[in-house]
Amino acid sequence: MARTQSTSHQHLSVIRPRAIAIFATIAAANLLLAGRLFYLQTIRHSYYVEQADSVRVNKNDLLPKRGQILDRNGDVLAINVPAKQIFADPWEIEDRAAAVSVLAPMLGMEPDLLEQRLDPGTNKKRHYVLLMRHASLELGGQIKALKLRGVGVGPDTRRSYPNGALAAQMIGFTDRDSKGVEGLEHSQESMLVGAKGSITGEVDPHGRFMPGTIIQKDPENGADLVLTIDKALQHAADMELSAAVKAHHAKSGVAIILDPRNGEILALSNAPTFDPNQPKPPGRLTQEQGLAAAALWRNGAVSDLYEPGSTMKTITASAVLQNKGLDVMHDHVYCNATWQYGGHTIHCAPDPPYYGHHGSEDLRGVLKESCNIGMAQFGLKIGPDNLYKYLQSFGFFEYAHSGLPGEQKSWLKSPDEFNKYTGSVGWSKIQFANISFGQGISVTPLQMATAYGAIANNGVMMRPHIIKATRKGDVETLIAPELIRQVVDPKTAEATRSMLGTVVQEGTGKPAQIAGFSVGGKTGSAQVSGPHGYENGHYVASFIGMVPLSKPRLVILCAVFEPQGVHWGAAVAAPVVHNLAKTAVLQMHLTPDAPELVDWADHHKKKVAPSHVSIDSIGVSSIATPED
Amino acid sequence: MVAGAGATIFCAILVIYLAAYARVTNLGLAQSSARVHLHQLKQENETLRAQLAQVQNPDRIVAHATTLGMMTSANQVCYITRDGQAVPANTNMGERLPGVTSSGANSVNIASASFGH
Repeated sequence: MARTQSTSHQHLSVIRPRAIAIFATIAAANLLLAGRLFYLQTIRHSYYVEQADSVRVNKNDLLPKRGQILDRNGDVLAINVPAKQIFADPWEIEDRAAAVSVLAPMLGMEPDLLEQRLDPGTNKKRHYVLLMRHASLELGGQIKALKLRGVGVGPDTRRSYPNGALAAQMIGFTDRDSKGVEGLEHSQESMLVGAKGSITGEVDPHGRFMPGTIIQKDPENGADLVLTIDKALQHAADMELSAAVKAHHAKSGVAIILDPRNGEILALSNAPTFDPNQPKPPGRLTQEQGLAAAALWRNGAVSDLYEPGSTMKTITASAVLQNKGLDVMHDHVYCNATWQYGGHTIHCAPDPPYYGHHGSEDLRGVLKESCNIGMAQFGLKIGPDNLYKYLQSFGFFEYAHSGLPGEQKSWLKSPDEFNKYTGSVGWSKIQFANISFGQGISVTPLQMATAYGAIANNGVMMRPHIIKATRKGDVETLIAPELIRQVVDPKTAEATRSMLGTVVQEGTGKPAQIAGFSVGGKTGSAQVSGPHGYENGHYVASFIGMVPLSKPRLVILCAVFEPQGVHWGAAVAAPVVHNLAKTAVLQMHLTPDAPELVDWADHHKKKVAPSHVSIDSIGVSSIATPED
Repeated sequence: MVAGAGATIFCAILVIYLAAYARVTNLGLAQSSARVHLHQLKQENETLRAQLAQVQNPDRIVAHATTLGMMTSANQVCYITRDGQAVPANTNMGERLPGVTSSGANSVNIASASFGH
């Protein structure tokens, strides 16, 4: 018995450590498994769910339709055209030579290039080769009908600008993936692009969605933009401006038609221009060619600063009237062709046929004859601080916020800032004199048109804007016109308009006269400054007009940069405004407000004295108010 | 007897089920076909809208109008008198301007004039 017990103890003493060891091993293994399980199920849970879903669940993007761009009458300016993309899987193509011989003429590609593209090479992952984007639906259908193994046809969209170069800089264009690159296409991208949708569901081994598992989120299409521009007026502006730029061998030009009552931009044109359907020439471009193409995309009407010259005299005159009262119109100054002021000589048109020496003249006469010396002297009556204040009030030192991209503003320093050229605080005398007649200050054409809009609109400046409404489905959201501020009193604005009428009827702006309508406006023939001062032979010829003067509905600006030969605003820019005014009053069905007024073309031909009807004698307020 | 009735009922239910199934399948196919057709029509509609916009291109209209002789030539300006007559502005009839109610025509080319600024 004792022996048995001894044996048992011996067994136990052997087994126990082994049992403990086995137990410990199993426990450790279980613990490891539990730990691994915890790691996989808890810590890496989302990762493995994602991995499983990626095999079992498929998600496809549903692309939204890009919004259209329309003019104020609903005419299409930018639209999406359904298209096809042609692609190939090089590893799937069985007879490459046959595929090349069939596809090359259809795709318009060189057979060698196509052969190269369809060559799978050694890259086993090369399963997708894009052969053509934006193919027509017909071509897509023809290629699909060929049933070539390894060649596929997929959906695509092409952005199209059906009016070609019309308002090209304003509208801009998209890249081949329909993403905005320039113009409104770029600046209003977030509104036009919409939001992607998706279709999610479990798929079978063939990748097909299984019924009952599909969750679809529809895409949110982009909003349509309804612009303020009128296609007919825009076309007229494009045509007239490009004709003027071509006729005068000018560097470029800008034309703007603005409704001063609400700030709507009815037309905004740049020349030279480009076709947004093909914004740059095909093929590889040199750096110079690329820059030349990109230069055409620039919207000079809002992005380029220029010295306005004499068109600024209207603003100075308005500031003088507002500051000194209407009686200042009876004050006289004297022009002797040259004037020594601030150590410099100010000239009044030294070139023939329009010599200075205007003699004694009042404010109306200064504007009528576009007298630099007279305007500088009237400017002196209010001083630089007041002139700066009114320039600020007319909006030259703030961005127009018109909705167009790339806006610029005047960077003129105020008279109480340090002037590095004089080494003291304030404008120099010559700087002040220059600014009063529009040199030494740079503004954008849109800023000038907006400032004239304030004068046309009884002193109330409206925000110039290009977007009239946005349209999403059936819901149209109108953009309300925005009043910026009352710049000058209605009486001041009316007196200024009266003087602008005199400019057109009797002064330098005669070529802007149109039959049946009173027209007011101001010419400008500014010198262009370069790195070493004003450059000889470089001018900006401009004219800003308003019609009908009794109750202006249109402000029309034309600026032609660096015309060759004749450089006077009256000869280069005023005829453009004249033609646009004629077209616009017809297009807008305006009733003539002054039937007795004659077209400049008739005066010119028949030698009828153009001053037989004077705005001075009629007075703006006595002209019948036109009806729409 | 009971087994026969049961078999008949089963067959009837089977026939009804199969008929309904066939109907649903047919409707599904018709729906799918209609969807494809709808997509094609939408694409066609968008293409036609784009083509319409291209046809309305002012440049194209002006070119056609010029070809057809429907454009006014340079300096051809007419006034419509109160009695409805179109009076060319470059004739002596243009003197009747007090009777003008509206002006007509488009571009007028003005010879370069030399004026001040």
